[in-house]
Amino acid sequence: MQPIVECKDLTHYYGNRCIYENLNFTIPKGRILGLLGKNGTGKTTTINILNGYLKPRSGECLMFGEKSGNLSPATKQKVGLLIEGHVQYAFMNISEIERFYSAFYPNWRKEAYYELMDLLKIAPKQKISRMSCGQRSQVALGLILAQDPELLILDDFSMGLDPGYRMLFVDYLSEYAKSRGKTVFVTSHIIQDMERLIDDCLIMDYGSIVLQKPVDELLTNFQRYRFKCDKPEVLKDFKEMKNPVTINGNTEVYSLCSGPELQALMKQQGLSIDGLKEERLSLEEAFIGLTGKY
Amino acid sequence: MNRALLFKEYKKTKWFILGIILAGIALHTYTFLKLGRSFRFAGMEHLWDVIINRDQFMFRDLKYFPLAAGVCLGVAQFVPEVIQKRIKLTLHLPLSERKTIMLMVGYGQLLLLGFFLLHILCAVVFSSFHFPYEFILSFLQTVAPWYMAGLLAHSMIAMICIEPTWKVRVFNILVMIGTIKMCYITDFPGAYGIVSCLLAIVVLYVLPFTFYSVYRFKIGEQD
Amino acid sequence: MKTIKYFIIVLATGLLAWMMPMMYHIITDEASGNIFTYYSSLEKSFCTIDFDEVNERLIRKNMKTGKEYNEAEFDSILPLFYYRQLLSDGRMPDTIHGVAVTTKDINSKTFYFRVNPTDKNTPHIPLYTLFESMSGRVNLEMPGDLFRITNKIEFVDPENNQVKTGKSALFMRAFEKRNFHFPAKLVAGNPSTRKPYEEGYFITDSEDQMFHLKMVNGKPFLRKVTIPEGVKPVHIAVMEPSDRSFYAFFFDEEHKMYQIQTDAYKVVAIPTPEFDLNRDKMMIMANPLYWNINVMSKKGKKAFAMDVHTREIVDQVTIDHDTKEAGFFSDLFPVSLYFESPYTRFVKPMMYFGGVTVLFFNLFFVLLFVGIMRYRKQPLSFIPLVWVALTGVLGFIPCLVLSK
Repeated sequence: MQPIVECKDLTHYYGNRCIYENLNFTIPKGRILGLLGKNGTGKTTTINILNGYLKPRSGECLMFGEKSGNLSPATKQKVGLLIEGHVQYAFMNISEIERFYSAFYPNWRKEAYYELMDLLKIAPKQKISRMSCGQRSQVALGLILAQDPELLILDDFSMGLDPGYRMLFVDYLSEYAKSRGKTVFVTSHIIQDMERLIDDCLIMDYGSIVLQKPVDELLTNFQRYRFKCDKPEVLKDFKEMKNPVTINGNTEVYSLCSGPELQALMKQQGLSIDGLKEERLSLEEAFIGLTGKY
Repeated sequence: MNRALLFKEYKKTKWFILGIILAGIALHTYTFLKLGRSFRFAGMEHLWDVIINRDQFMFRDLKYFPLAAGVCLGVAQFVPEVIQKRIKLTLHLPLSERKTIMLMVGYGQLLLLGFFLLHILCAVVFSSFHFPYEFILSFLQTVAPWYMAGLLAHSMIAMICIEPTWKVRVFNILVMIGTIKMCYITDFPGAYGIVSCLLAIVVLYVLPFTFYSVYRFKIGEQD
Repeated sequence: MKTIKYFIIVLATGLLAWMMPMMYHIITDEASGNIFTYYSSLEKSFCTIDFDEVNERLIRKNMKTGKEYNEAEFDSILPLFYYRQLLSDGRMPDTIHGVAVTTKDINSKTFYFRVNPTDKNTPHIPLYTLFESMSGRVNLEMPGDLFRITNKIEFVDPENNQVKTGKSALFMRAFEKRNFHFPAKLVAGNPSTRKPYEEGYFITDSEDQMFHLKMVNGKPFLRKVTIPEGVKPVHIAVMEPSDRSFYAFFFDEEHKMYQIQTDAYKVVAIPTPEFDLNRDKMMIMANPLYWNINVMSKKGKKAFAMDVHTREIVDQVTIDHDTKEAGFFSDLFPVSLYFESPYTRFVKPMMYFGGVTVLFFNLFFVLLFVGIMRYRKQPLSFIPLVWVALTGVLGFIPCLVLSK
């Protein structure tokens, strides 16, 4: 089956600064993909290319088989967009903006929008510009849910939201996406939120993709190990071990290998280790394990 | 869909439209009252004499009004689109981008054109009671460039607002100033004559410029 | 999109072709001093007042002999110009070269006449005030109407903006009787109450026949003026001089100047060599013996002295301007665009093309453009390159800004 989103050999530079080269990924139908990366690794660049607001230096990005920079109106109808900061037409009030968008989308689900709006304690005529950030995020989410698109692209949905709104947002979104088989592409700088939402994660570091895997597979296999080691300085030469750190003789590494595999590997290299402890990770810890703290 | 898009433009601009209409009415009222005062003080014959033989122009207060109206409407329409890059939402609407921009610019242009024609018509009707058609012809030739400046300003403000980089935006501002300056070379009554038609061509010529800014926005030009 | 980009570049280039020469003029223009010259009826030579910038004093001299005069001496060699000073000093001669000159003569035969290209090329509302020419009053009074002359003559009352049918019909009959071919081409008069008397209008019809229109005791006076065969007037200036010796000057297509005299509407040619009303200014300073005819053109000033009686040019001088003006920007800018000119009050786009040296500058800007594009590692497109080659610095700026 054709993936909903397909990015092929994306390469982009800002001036002489390389953001990434030959980036490839796909999002199959019905999956929720989270794009994780530190600041400046190209999350927004990728979102912009995907939305058609940036032309990559080379490569292409297809949505529903069409080039993202030049989507037909029919395809645009199938894509819901949440812009960073929950930006909407702030000069309208909630009923005006609902009527405005309803004209563009044939499958408009008015009740889905008002269900969310009823949770907000706002006057029907209150302009969006006079709402709090959290309330605005609800409006933006409500509009996307009412649009009922096949693909949702959400850029940093947690920005500016307090924990209650973040949770509400995630709950609504994941319930909606999972029950209706929607495809979602999402970025957020708060990884905790993503853990409850996403199926797959795409972790980016400067210039490349570190990993693309289903979240549960990652969390099952990717672990933290603590041990004491006689020569901790050689650990960084093992590609199986990510970000080794040794403090006061206690070493900490992250790896996709199991405990016995790791021990065997080190024994092979003549290293002796002592007191190996295995720890299960949260997505946030796994992210740090993969990309480092710095 | 088109109606919804026009509703959005209306939402952004309704207070500006009201302001422009009120200012237009106030300006005409002021001009007519001032003319009435001249009728009473100096008499009609003297007024005709200074208009014909001393090249006085009685509607000089109109000079910068259409320009201000065009700038205000342009700002009202396009600044909210670029704040927080809302233009991304607009371009994502399921219409062709060309059509979306055409509707937005066309809304402002037609609104201004309609209002300007009405404004001119008021002056013409008022004048036709007191002045012969020769005056009206001269009036039209004198004010036509000023009203065209309003249309020019509106479409070029759209181009300037949507342009994503400051370097080119400053360049566009300079191009706008130069283009508008063409409408204010002289305010000697009737001096533009048929050159006004040339200005009308310039008004049409700059209309597609906004598409270029949209194109630059779409390919992600940055400072 | 490229097409729109090129549209923007073309507009920006055009604006620069207009703005850059304008800036250049604003920065560098200096008043070209108009040097005073006057033909001395005593010395039979042009005299002038010049300014000595070194010593900061006026130099008064005879242009032929170069002899310098002090102020009082200068007054006395130009008695017809400084006669009021001479009269007040009691130094005014009774005769000049045997010809008697009286104060009355000087007063009545002295007049000044100026004509500029903008007098002819100016927008005007085609309505005309016709005063009563035999009112019996010393001061002229507003007539209470204005006339238009298109396919008929009509008088309009400003008080109610209505056509005065009776008066219009009365005048129309006069026009029909004189076989006037409507519409009128030229209508010239002096619609001002600040003049000693009213001589109405000189009008040409569609067949270039000239007529004199006056209102006498409320009735039309229309008389055909016989002008030389084949002469097609293009501009008329009605004069109303105090001695009532002539009515008007007019200019024809061939740049010739004529005077319509009061004596049986005699039309006489005035010798004005090298004068083109579309480009040059003219000033006549007349006295009972000579007319000083000054023609000011872009090149400078030519002054002619015409003997009033023989109507022949008896002397002439030329004062050239320092012609550095076009210099710099006609080298740098391939095209300069102007909307205004000293020759017309109409806004009119006018293009001037630069000289051959422009090609070198254009080449320089092409190379600069190529260099910058190479430095920026940008691909070179053909059209911007050609545009820079054609328009030099004017196209270089927008092409550079928009090439990315």
